[in-house]
This record gives sequence, structure tokens and C-alpha cells, in this order.
Amino acid sequence: MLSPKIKALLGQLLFAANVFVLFLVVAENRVMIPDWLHVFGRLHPLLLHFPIVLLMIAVALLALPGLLKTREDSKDYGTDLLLLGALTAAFTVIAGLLLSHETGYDQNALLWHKWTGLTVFWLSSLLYYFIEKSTQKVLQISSGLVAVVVVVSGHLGASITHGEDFITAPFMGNDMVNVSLEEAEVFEHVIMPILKNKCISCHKASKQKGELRMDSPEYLLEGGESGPAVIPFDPEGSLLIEKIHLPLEDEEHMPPEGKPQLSEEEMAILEAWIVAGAEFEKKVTDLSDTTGIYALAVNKFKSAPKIYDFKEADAQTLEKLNNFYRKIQPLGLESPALSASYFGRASFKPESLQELQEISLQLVSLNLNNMPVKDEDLEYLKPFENLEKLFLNFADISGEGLQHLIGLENLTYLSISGNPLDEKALEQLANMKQLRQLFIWNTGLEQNALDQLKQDLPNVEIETGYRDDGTVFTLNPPVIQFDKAFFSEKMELKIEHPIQGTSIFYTLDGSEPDSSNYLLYEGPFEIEENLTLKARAFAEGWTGSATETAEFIRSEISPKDYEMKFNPEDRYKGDGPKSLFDRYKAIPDVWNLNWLGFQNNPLDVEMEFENPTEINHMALSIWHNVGASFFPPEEVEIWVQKEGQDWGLAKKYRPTPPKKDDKAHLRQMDIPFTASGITKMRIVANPVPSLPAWHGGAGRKGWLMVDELVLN
Amino acid sequence: MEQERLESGLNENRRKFLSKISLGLGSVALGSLLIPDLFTGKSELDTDKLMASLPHFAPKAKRVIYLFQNGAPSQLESFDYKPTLNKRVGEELPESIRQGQRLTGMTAGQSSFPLVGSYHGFNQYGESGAWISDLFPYTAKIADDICIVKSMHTEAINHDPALTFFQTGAQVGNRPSMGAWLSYGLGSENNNLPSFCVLLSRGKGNGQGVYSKLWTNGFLDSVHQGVQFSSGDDPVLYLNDPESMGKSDRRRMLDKISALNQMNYESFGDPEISAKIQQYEMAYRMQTAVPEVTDLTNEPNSTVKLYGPECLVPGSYAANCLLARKLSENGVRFVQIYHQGWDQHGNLPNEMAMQAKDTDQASAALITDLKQRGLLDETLVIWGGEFGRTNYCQGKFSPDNYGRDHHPRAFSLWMAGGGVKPGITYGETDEFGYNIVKDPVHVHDFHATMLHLLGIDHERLTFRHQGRRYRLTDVAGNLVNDIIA
Amino acid sequence: MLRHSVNILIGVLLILTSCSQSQNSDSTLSPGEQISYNFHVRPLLSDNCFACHGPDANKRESGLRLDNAEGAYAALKENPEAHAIVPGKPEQSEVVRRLFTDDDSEMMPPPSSNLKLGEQEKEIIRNWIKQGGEYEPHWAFEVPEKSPLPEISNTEWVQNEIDHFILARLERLGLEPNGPAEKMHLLKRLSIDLTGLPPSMEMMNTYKKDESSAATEKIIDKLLSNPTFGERMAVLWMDISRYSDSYGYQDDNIRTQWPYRDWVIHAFNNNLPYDQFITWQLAGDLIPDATKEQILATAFNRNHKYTEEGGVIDEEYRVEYIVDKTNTFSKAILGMTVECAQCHDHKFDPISQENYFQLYSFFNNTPEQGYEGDVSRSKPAKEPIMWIENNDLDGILDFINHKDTSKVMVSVMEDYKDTLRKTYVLDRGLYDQPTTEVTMSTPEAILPFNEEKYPKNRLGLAKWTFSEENPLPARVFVNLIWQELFGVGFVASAGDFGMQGKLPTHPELLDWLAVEFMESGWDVKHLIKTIVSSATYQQSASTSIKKLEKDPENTYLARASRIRMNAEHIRDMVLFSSGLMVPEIGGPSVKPYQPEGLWEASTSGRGELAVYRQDKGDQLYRRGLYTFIKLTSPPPKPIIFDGSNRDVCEVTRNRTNTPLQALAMLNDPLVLEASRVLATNLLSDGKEPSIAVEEAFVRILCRDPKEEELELLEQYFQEELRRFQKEPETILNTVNVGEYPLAEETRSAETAALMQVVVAIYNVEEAITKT
Repeated sequence: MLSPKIKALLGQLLFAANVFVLFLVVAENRVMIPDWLHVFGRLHPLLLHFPIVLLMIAVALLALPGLLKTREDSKDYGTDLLLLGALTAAFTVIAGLLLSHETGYDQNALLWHKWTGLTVFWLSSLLYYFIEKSTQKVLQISSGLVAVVVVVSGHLGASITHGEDFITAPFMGNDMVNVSLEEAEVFEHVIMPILKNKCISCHKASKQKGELRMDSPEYLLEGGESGPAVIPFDPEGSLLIEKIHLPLEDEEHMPPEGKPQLSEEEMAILEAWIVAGAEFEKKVTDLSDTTGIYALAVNKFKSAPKIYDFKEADAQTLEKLNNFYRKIQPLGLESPALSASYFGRASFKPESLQELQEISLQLVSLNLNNMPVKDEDLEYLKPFENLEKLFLNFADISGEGLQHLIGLENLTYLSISGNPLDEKALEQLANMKQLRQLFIWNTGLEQNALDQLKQDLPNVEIETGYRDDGTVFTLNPPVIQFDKAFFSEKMELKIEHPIQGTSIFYTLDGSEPDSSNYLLYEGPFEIEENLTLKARAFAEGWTGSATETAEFIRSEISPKDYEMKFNPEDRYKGDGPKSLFDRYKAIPDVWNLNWLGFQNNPLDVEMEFENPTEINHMALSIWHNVGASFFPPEEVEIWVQKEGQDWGLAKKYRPTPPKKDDKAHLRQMDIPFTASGITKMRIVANPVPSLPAWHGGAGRKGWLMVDELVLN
Repeated sequence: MEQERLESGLNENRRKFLSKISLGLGSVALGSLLIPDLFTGKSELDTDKLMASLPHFAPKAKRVIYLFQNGAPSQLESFDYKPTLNKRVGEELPESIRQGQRLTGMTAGQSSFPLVGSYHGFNQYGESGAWISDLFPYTAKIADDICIVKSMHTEAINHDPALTFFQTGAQVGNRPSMGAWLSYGLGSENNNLPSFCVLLSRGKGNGQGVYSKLWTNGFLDSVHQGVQFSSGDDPVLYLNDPESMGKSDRRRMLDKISALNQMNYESFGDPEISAKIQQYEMAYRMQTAVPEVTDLTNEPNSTVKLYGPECLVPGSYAANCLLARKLSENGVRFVQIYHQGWDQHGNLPNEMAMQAKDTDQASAALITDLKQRGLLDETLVIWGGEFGRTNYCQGKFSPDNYGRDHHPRAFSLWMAGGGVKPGITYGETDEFGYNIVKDPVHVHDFHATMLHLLGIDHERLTFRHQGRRYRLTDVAGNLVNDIIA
Repeated sequence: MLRHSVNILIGVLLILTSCSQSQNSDSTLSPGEQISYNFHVRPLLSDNCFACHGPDANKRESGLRLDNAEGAYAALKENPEAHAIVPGKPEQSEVVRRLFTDDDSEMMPPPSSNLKLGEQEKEIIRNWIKQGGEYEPHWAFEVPEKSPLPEISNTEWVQNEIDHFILARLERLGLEPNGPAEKMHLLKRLSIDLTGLPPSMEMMNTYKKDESSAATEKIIDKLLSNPTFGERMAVLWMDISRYSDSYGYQDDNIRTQWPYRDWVIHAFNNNLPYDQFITWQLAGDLIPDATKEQILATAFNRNHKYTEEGGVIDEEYRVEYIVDKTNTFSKAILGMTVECAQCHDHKFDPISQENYFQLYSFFNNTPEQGYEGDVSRSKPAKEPIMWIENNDLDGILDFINHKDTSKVMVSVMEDYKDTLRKTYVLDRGLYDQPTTEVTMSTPEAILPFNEEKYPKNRLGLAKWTFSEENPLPARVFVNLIWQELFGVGFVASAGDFGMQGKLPTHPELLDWLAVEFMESGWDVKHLIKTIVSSATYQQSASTSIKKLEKDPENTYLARASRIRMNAEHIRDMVLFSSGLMVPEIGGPSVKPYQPEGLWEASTSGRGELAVYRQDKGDQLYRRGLYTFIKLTSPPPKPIIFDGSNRDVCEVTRNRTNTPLQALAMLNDPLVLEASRVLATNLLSDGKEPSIAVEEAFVRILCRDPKEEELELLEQYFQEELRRFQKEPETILNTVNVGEYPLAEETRSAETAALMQVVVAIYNVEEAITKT
């Protein structure tokens, strides 16, 4: 309880304060406020809490004396608190007045706050001075009055610092929350929130600055005193855009200085929205996704998975329904919705669809692709009220059965590609308005039928898929099947092509097969001589294939025993001497393990024959590649040993040296040599010791690359 | 090993209604619940196990087909159109652009780095007006179905580490590949097929090889290993019975075997025995299921024209694309295609053209084919290589014959279906196509996004191995929200 | 929720099974029971807290570390009044508050981490703190000691010390161990475990007849002295030493490290003490006047992959190689996974990034290059190399099986003599981010590196490894052997004895064996003999629902585990039982049958291994150990049966059970060929089919068939016989598989029918299982 002494003192202080405040209010615009006082001004936000609390309690006690033990108590306490409250209100008001001189505040809102604030102060002062003289009734009324003004003033203040609806915001809630991309509307969920937060506080029914309202579409188009705020497709013309882009200090800039400003993104969105025609009704997802507004808006929402409210199936049932040919899974860990897939055409039984009854509530997606499902079987699907996706590609549906699906209201996605559909199918489909996407590729339906269907189902995305537009493609070459390119007596050749109905033309003389010059392939055939096979494939509706070529060399004689004097170089050691007689043809690839490469040592092979042998043709199968320094041998020596005789040099042969611009190729280098009664033979082929002057590696050693030695 | 202990720990109650391979609904939760493993301190409700075998949330994509272009196709001749390079052809790459970026040993020694523009022309296609090179006429036709990402970047500058990084999320080590992670995370959709299949092919260009470690299960159960389909007559190893053995003969043998196993089970009561019996039944079913899928004879005739005639030549890229569709359609979670030959250090204009010719039609056909069967929505298709190629010439330079070295800082790939926004182009590189200037996408981000589309939170799909939790995205990875429809 | 209803379903099952459990298994705590930090608490903290409040100083949140008492008891940085743990006062411990709060912003672990403790786990921590919140040093870092043998009641079951520990535990759990296994089961188990081969017919007969009490010991000694023992142990060691026949990476050309494999076989057969076995491999080259054999052993450090990809950056890969050496050493020999410390302080174990590179520096002082050129310059070994000349083969390297006269090169270790390559901590482990320089040393937490005692090089590291204060190596190897014999080690995570590793199921036994191992002079054969001589090992494998429910994983060994054989041994079994096997030991790897096109499909087209060139003749029938391993396309069948792909050091194989395995057993040409050959041989000497069937059964399953089994097989034989008699044209087609010459008599319906029977027997689960 304040001592009478203090009380008197404070009472006088309050009076002084009143005088000073009065002075400030009157002289406001004529006095110069020193900076240090501004500091005091900034205390306003802190001080204001005292009067609010003190006065509230005070008026409560005075208005309802029943609160405390005795009426006297409450009166006394009330009075004291009222005094303190009024005093603190004084300081608050003074600070507020000083503060109001700083820039950045919406003067309009400020005005209201200022006067209500002052009212609080004066009312409470008056109430205090006349408290002794006033009756309980008066007391109650005036107390109530003080209380009201305190609240109003406080709220206005809050709005200035924290923005409009600061207090009420929690009740209004934020429109952005729990709107999924699917539901989101351009105006409602993208544009409106921006206007709400940044514009509508001053442009609404209650307060139409510049006679403009922005709280609903028609007003935006209608506009205010200086014209329409929004002109679809015309951002330049739309005042809204013009104003938000003015420099901040500009009088006309919106939102006004001191008010919360638009973010870059928000401005971009507003503009893009107008560019795209200032749609008020459309959903975000309905916008063409090439528009800027779509790009900007879409990021504001996440495509939320549909929430299902039906109860989940019981786990045991699922365990039971899952088997080797049918998989049933929830969409996700927490989702009651189920999807079912069938596999294994051979083991499909239509009745098994019956078993799914147990989850008819939860089944949202069913995959019956490639299952022999008949029209009548579709009746099993009737009870699946929540079914959304149904796959029936390449089943055995002709169409009539689709009637059973018409009742499935949630069925939006139907894929029946690859079924031979009839006109009954069209009738049924035409009634399936609930669909959103329909896939009917390869159903044998004529174009006009499809067009008709598109008319019947305007809101359905119909995918008719790829059609052979008669483009003529080139066939791929045929495949020549054979065992080994080097053969002894004869060998069988097969030519194949993966595409049915192609006819294969071939030649055996190395000429290009074409419609005028060819043999028709009718089945495997045998060859006995060296030859080059060329084959091409032709078929109706295709361009003839490129030519496939294979070379075959007859090599009758293979020695019973043989060995090489020097190993080939490590890099190309092939299978050692074996490679010379293994009848495998190497391909022009340095990693091909059929190549024997010689550089520092000659190819020097000694052969022994079963019994005295006659040789009338001999060739070295080599890789001729000037660029890679793969040269024919410089010289070949042939030594033979005939029965009962000694070794003798039978022949020296120098092949014609290659020329600079020879094309790289694999060739049979004939060694002109004939002899008979040979028991042993030795061949020495020397690689070029020094590459010719015209060669890049002039002077270096050349390579001799051999894959087979041919003897006939 | 952890996995192994868990699996073998499941007591026979579980065995009775779940075979080890079919990680059917709840089976894994089941497993983890049935193992009181507390004395090792590991909660039996280990997130790893609980999360496995079901998506964390409703997925957009159910399956993935990855058309991996092995060797790194040049972004500058495919999707990243850089006229500046043609204007300033032959000029030196400005240091301000290169910024001391490390180079491979192949060009580090090069005295100059002459810029070179694309020899092949570019045009805009589709509503989105995406820039696509003339080498890809068929891809151009599906421009509005695909999402081109021009701002991919990676860490490695050599093929092996870069490939390994792309496939396993780590440049080295024996980590599970993405397919294995998916198989582990989603289980198999079709119990009679492997959930992760691998198809190999080679083009005419310079090849770089692929390695089984790219489809390894790493430390995951070997059930999750990629099964390599061969182009031979045995699509899956040891699948075919000997010719002389009819189906019924095989059946009889299996009955005898399981009878013998049953007798053994009675004397030992070891759950492993009954599990073995199930595996033999499973194998028997695979023997029917796989040929059903690999058999191309029931395909409509138009298919051959759609994919191109090569699609009937086993082992060709086109054939693999077609096979990929069939496998995917039959519930295979992850079909991984590798196509070799994109490593154009030299002779690029020519080799690139050959490579494109081999792959363009079939890649596009796959999208069309999935679309017309209503399957594109739930199938995510990805086309791309392990890194990009330099905007300067490697080796001898001439405007019509040049080469490009490896470039990890920026490259392009495209995705389609499976919840990816169609008809958009994401990310940008500078006018030299050297650095990314907008919306970079790191390989980890790509992984995170891919998993997200499949309903998996990449931070929650983990596996404990040697005392640490591993993730496909290691400790990184951000969703690329803007390409998610 | 769906999941919940699943859980309820499970709940029911759980109650059925686990209520019995809770009474006795350690897994749940009876109220008031003393909680062990090591066993109950640290695993929880480590798994859920250490990532942010552990040894890694850089990632440590709000300066709090919970991995040691100082850190946990100290006043919190953010709030000096509070302490994470107040011993005895859970209510005052911040940890407890944060664990139990529902306030997401306060909750630990934070929801964002996706980590969550179960109620029971929270209680454990609360109670631990109540009981004084005492920290204990990590068990694996304490020097092992032999504890006195525990008291047990059922003494007649016991055969040696091991059984005391096992039985004591079982009795506490109220579980009864099984009696001894049937003789033939035991024989197969021993034979497979010690030689990787099924027992021969002779062995089966002698053992069957031998009634003496020493019968089993005789067999054990016989098997241990058989050279096939070395081959069997080598299978384990090839995984650990990540052996391969190619370089891995891209073009993946051929390499010749196989002489190292010959050495490993040799070393095991000679029973080279484990400490020397490892010392030679780590630092054979540094041993004073080292022999070529000791240098060859160091190939262990060179078996990892080498790149031959054009244009790689030399240093990037050189670092990669040293990292591999370091990780392999610590994982295989110290049982510590230190990879993580390459990039940052270890999150769970007291191993800093600095520690890591100190260890790394031991291996860093070699003239090895990161890149010697691309595949066109490829050689079968990389510098530094050792040449194996012909005369070596008659001398100290006589164990090397090299037929032709050419020299062989092997990649081995060698240090700079006079200079020392500086080692730096690499920021984030990146080769181009060197920071502070470090010198050779070892993690203090395990055992400080005493520079007085040990030279600062790999030899010093080896000495450090085998000093008797080092708590790890003996435990780690004992654990490996236990894993080989029982399927799972005492420590399930054989490569990780650290904080996150599994805890030993029988700590005292593990330590007892470790000490025994050291006291025996690191005698490997002694160790193995001790284990296989125990009643625990020799008990029968039969089980009951009760045992399955109480101990589904057979953690406590109240029965023998039935274990699927290693991939290699499945091949061996088929070859051996059919008589096809070529018993030759050692030599270059061989290329047996392999499905077509595997190498061709994946190769870049370059290198000697672009095409698979299958071997011929004997080489087709060598043991699985010798199958050629091309890293980028490993042999399919071993992989299908969980073999290591040899990419990195592996100490434990998965053991899965998949349909691909079934297909591989049914249709692998080798199995069919073996069946054909066995069938032919059995019938050749005019045996009665029924006798033949029986012998086939015995040869493959290594026991006499039961009545009904024989009946069933004979009936199958008859069915098949009828089939082939009906369609004789299919006979040739059926038997004509594999390259083993086709005997005339093979083309009979009998052989074809018997062949089918044999295939069936090979496919019985028991055939590929240790029972």
C-alpha cells in the first residue's frame, strides 16, 4: 500500500506529466526533438507494457470490488494501481510521441494509435482525480471505457509493428498449408495470399485507398481512381505491375514505404500471372507448363499423394493373397491403399480375381497385363470401388466386358493396348466419363473410330501410340554362320536373318549381290574352293541391307607335327605355333589372339607330315597394314626334306613390297611353290628389317603378322 | 554379414510363410522383429531393416530402366548447344573459364586448348523448344516426353572411378550399386524374376569396358546382385535344362530331390533345408518365367519398325532396349543397360554419329513403347553417361575432325516418365559449355532424386556394415524438386 | 496402420517364442541386474550418439563427447550447471532428460538423424547411470588373459577346455548340448573343414572300422598333415589377400601373382607360425638378408587392383594403392576397420585421421608408381618386381609349381633404401590435399609404437603387431578360424573389433584361445586341432523346435551348425566324388568351363583377357582354388555361391540360398559331366545298378543311405531307365556333356539313367552342406 506521502508526490508528478503531454501534442510539429530524446522514444515498445497491465488490473479492481477480501481493499489497491498505471501511461505516451517522428511508419495507422493512446492516458488521469467523487456506477462505466481503449490502442500499435491481423492471424490460418499441387488454384492459392499479405490491408471494403479494392477478382479488373489494376495479358498496362516496380522512395510506389514490401519472387509471380492472362478460375496444373506463372507457382506446392481414409487390409489376408504369381503391396509404408500385379500368363486363373474381393476396398491399382483375361472375367472387378488404375494390355478382351468397369467411379486410368477391340468396346468406352487417361494402342480400331471416341470423351487423354507410318527402313545385314574360315575338304555355310520373310541374295564370285546379280539362298550349302561370300537381305517394305562379306580358304594339308624356332613377340604371341594351323581366321584387331607377330626374329616353322606329301599351293595368311608397319615378309625361304634325303633349300621368294598408299587389308599371300614327296618342310619368313624411306617409321623394323599357313 | 546374421536368425515360424528371396510385404519387418539382438545393443527395430522392402511413401515410379551410355557421350554434340564454340572455334580456352581445373593425363601435357564447336547442327524441338543435335532425330521426336538435365557434374575424371561413382555412389570400394539398393529397398515385384537385371551391348565407337562390380550387391545379400542377361541361348546362367530333358523329366527329378531333402529335414529340423526346397521350386518357376519374357516372337510387327530391325539381333542395343521393356513390364525393378563406345578422344564427329545411329531410334522407341502401354507413368527411364567432354580439342585439331577429353564439370543426361516433369530442360552451362551457371546437379543429388521418385527417402534407406550405416548417397544428396512433376 | 497389424501378428509369434527367451538369454535384462558398459551401454551410445558426440573432434556437436568418462561427466559447454551424465543420478543427467523428452527440439538423437532408441534401450542407459554410470575400456583393447575354467555340472560331455566355456554358458541358459555326431557326419565335417574335400572311400571305411578311442584324433592328424590342408586354408587367405589374376579396372589385363598363392599353400602346410606368416607378408623384404621366399610373401601387399586406364593421374592412384594396403593390414590382421579415418577422424573408434596416415606411412615408402602406362605397355607385374628364375625352382622356391622354362615376374614390396618418402595427412583423403606431415606410428588406443623397441619401417610394424602387449592379432586370427569352422566367429564382424563391431559371444573363451594360441608359439595347426577336438565341435547337428526357438542363430552352440560349403569346395566335392579331380597342387590359374560370352560382353576389347579361352584336358579338373579370377568379370559360379569378387580384402563371406544356386547345381556342365563320368565308372566293372546307386550316394554324401532314401533313388533309376529305353535316341545327347572322353559303354540306357540319379544326389542339400 503506498504511503500517503508517496501517493501525494506521484499525484503531482502525474499532473506535471499531463501538462507536458498536452504541450507536446499541441506543439508537436513546431518543436525540434534532440537526438538523445529519440533514444527515450525507442523505449516506447518497452514502456507500453506497464500501463496495459497496471491499468487493466486497476480498472478490474475498481469495477468489481468483490475481487478482494473487502470492498475497501479493492478500492484502495485499485486507486493506487490506477495512479501508477496513469503515470507509466504518461511516459509511454511521451516516448510514443517522440518515436512517431521517426520515418518508416504508416502515418495513417499511426494517427489512430496516437489518439487512442492519448485517450488512455487522459481517461485514466481523469478517472484518478475524480475517483473519490464518483459513484460505483460511474466508476464501473469509466473503468470499462479505459479497458476498451487500452485494448484498441494496444492492437493498433501491434498492427503497426507486426502488420495487420497480427493477433487474428492464427485464426485465419495460412492458405498455403495443406494444399496439394493437384488442388491448388492459381488465384486462390498463389495470387491471393500475396495480395492478402501485402495489399489488401489498405485496399478492402473497410478502407479503399485510391478507391481501389483488391480483395476479389472483379475489383482488380475494375480498378480504382487511376484505372484498372489488372489488365489480362498486358503487364505494362496493369497499374498493379507499374506501381510495384516504381522506386521505393517514389510517392506512388506500392506497397508504401514502411509497409512490408513484395519479394522479388512475389513480383515475378504477379507479373507472370498477368502475362498468362490473369486467370482467376484455373488450377495451377491446368496452366500450360511453358508459362512463367506455372514454373513459379508449381514450386510453391508439392504434389501430395492422395490421402486414403479407408481402413487398411489385415496383414494375414495379404500374406495369404500374395503368391508366386500375384504380388500385392501397399503403395507405401503408411498407406492403406494396395496395388496388385499378376505375372505368369501360363498359370493365370480368372477365378483368382475372385479372391481379391477381400481387399476390394483397398485395391487402387491392378495390373493384368499379358494375362488371358476374357471379357466376362471383368465382372470380377465390379466390387473394386476404389480402383483407380487398371492395366489390361495384351489380355484377351474384345470389348463387351468393359461394361463392368463403367460403374467404377474412381477408375481414371485404363490401359487396354494390344487387345483386338470391336465396336462394342467403343460403346462401352464412350460411357466411361470418369476416365482421365486411356491407352488403346494396337487395338485394331480404325482412325475414324478413334476420332469418334475422342469426341465422346473430351476430357480424356487418349494415347493411341505408334503406327507404322510407312517409313521405309534399311534391313540389317544377314549373318553368315560357319565354323572356321579355313577348311580342309569342304564346309557347310548357313546364312540367317532375324526378321521373318526376308529373302537373302548372295554371290560367290566377290561381286556385289543385287536384284540383277544374285543367287537366292534356300538353305545351307557346301563349298569346296576358296571363295568370298557376299550376302544381302531384302524384304517387302524394307530397303535392301548392306552387304555382309566372308572369305573362305581351303587348306587341305595340316602337318602331323610342327614347332617354331623362335617365339613370336610377347605382344602378339597368339597360341604359339598352334595358331598357324588352327584354321581360325584372325580379325583386323591387334588384341585378336589369333595373330602371331614377328619383328626381331623370323617366323621359322618346321613341319613334319604324316606321309610323303605333295604340295601345289601354299599361302601365308597375313595382315597387310602399312600404317601400323604390318608388312609382308621381305623374303621367304622354303626348305624341304624328302624321303631319305637331307634338308635342302627349295625356294627363296621375295613378295612385291607394299606401296605407300596400300589400303590396310587381310590377305592370302601366295607363295608360288610346288613339290611332292615331302616328309618335312621348314618355312622361314623374315620381317622387313628396315622400313622404307617413304614410311613414317623409316629405318625401324617392320612387323610380320600371320594367322595361318595354308597348304594344299 | 549383418544381413546374413539377420536372415539366418529368422526362426522357422518365418520360414514357414516366407522364402528368403521374396521380401514380400512385411517380411523384413517380420525378420527384424523376430531377432532379439539386444545384447549386441542393436535395436531389433533397426530402421534399416524396417524400411527395407517397402517404399517410405507412395512412389511415382515403380521401376527404372537405365540406358547407360558408357564412355561418356559428348554433351556438346547432343544436348548442350553452344554456338559460341563454333564462333570462336580454334581460339584458346580462356583461363578465366578453365580456372585451373585438373585435366586427365591425356591432355594435361597439351600446350594449347583450342575451342571446338559441334560439327553437327542443332535445332529446337517440341513445345518446350529443347535444343537437340541432328545426330538424335528420334530423340528429337520425343522432346516433349523427356526432361533434359544440362547441369550434371561429377567428381572423377577417369572412366573407371566415374562409372563406379555413378553406379555405387563411391569412386572406389565394393559398395552396392543403385540397382542392388533398389532391390534391397523395394523387394521384387515379380517373385519369379530377378529384381535387378543387367544387359550389355557394344557400339562401333571406342569402348571402355564394363565391370561386374558395377552391378555388385556389395555388402548386401547376394540376392540383390544384378543378374547379367547374356545374348546367348542361356539368357540367365544355367537356366536351360539339357536339351534331352523334358519339363516333366525335370519335374520328376525335382520331386525326388525335395523328397530326399524332406527326409533330411525330418532328421535335422534345420530350416535351411526347407529354404533350399523353396529355392529349387523358385528356380523351376524361373525356367518358365524368363523365357516367357525373353521370347520376342509374340511382339506385334510394328515393334520391329519402332525399335529398328537391329532389335531382333540378340545382344544389340536395340534388342536390349526391347528386352528391357519386357523385363520392366514383368516387374523387374531395375533394368540396367550398358552400351559401350562413347569415348571419343579422337575422330569424334564420325564416331559420335555412328554411336548415335546405333542408339537413337531404340532409345526413343522405348519411351514411345512404354507410353503406349500406359507404363511410362510408373517407369523412370534415364539416358546418360559417366561424365561430359571438354569444349576444347584433344590431339590434332581440325573443325571437322577433332576429339574431346573427359570433363567432369558439366554434362547432360535425360530422364523420362516415372514422375519426372516432361518437356523441360533443367540447368545451364556458360556459353563455353564448361562450367555450370544455373541449377547444378551432383551425382548424389541425382541419386537422391531417383530414389525419391521411387518413394524412398535416400537418408532412410541405409544398411549397417562393419559398424557403420551406409547409404547410396553417402552423406550428401539433395532432391532436385524442380524436375519432379 | 497396416504395419501395426503386421506387428501385432508378429507380436503374437514373438510372445510364443521370446517369452521363454527373456528368462535366460542375455538379450533382455532382469530388473536390478548389473549392467555392463561394454555389453549393454556402449553399443547403444556408439550406434546412436558417437557420430556427433564421439572421437571425431571436427564433427563433435556442442563440444560434448560421450565416448569417455571425462567428456560425459564434464560440465556442458552450453550450460555449465548441467552435466551429460551425473553418476548415480539419472534425474540430474542431461542425457536421460534428452532421451526421454517428447520435445522434438530437445530430443536426442534428433529426429532428423532417423535414429531412435527403443524404450527398453533408454531404460538400460537410465539404469546404467543409476548404477554409477561407469565407463570401461573397450574390451578388445585390453590384453587378453586366460581366465580359470568355469564350473560345470555335466562333466562327462566335456572333451577339452573349450567345452567348459561353452557348456557353462549353455547351463546358464538352460540349454543342453547335443551328443557326439554320427561318425560319418563327423568325418565329412572334419574332412571338409581341414582339407576342403570329402573323405575318400578308404578313409570312410578305415574310420568306420576303427573303434578305438583315438580313432578321431588319428583322422584329425591325418587330415592336418595332408597337403590339401594348405589348399583349404589358402581359400580363406585368398579372400583376405584379395588375390586375383588380373589388374582390375577398365582393360583388366593379365597379371602373374600366382606364385604367391603357391607360397601361402606351402606356408600353411609347413605350419609356419602365424607371427612369421604375417611378418613375412608385411615385411619379408626388410628381414636381414631376406630370402626370395620371404620377399615373395610380400606380394600380399601388391595383390590389390592396378589401373592401366590411359590418362589417369599417377599420384591419385599411388595413394589409392597405399590406402588399400593400409586398410587390408588393419582389417585382416588388427581386425579394425579404419577406412573412415582416411577422410576424417573415426566416428566410433579412437583412431584419428592422423593415426591413419601414420599407419599409412609404413606402406608409403615404396618406389611403386600409380601408373606405368596403358594396356598396350602392360606387363604381368608392376615395379618393384621379383623374377622367379628356373634355378630358384630347384632351390628355396621349390614349392612353386611352374612347368615351362620361362621366367615369372611377381609384384613384391621394396622400400627406398636411403631416402624416405614424406607422408602427409590428406585432407578428406584426397591425394592433392596434403596438410600436416606425419611419421610412422600406430594408434595409441591399441598400443603405442615404441620407437626404442621397433625400427620405423614395415618390419617394425610387424614386430609391434606381434608384441605380447598387442591385444588384437591373436584374437582376430582365432576368431577367423572359429568362423571358418562354426560359420560365425565369436565376434560376428570378423573385420571389426572396434566400438561398432559385434561383441564376442564368448569373451572368456575367445581370450583363452588367443592366449593359448600365443603360448603355443602361434601354432596354427595346434589351434585348429584344439578346436576340432572339442565336444562342442564334434556334437551332432540335429536340432529341435525348442533349440530353434531359444537360440535360432545357434549363438550358444547347443548343436553343431549345418553350414553350406564354400564355393570352391562345392566344385572340389563334385570333382573329387566323381573321380575327375586332378590333385595337382599350385601353379598358374586355370580356365575351366564358363558360360559363353561373359568376358566378351564386358570387355573393352583390349588386353589379353578380352576373350575367354577355356583350357583343355587336366586343367579343366583342378580345384576351385585355382580358377582364374578376372576381376572385372569374376567366374560366375563362385560368385553365385557367395565367393568374394576379390575387389577388396574380405574376411567373411555371406552365406545365402538363392534360386540361381539351384540352377547352377542342376545345369552346370561340370556337374553333369561329373555325374556322367561317375555313372560310367560305377557301371563299368559290371556292378549291379542298385549297388552303383548306393556307392554314388556314399561317395557324394559320405554316409550310408537310409532304407527309404535308397528305395526312392532306385525307383528313380528305374523310371529314368524306362525313359531312356523308350527314347534311346536321347541317350547320346544326354551323356555327351563335357570334354572328358566318352567311353563306349557310356551310351547305354543304364548309364544315362544312373547319371540322372547322380545329378539328383549332387542336388540334395546335404551334398553341399557340412552336417
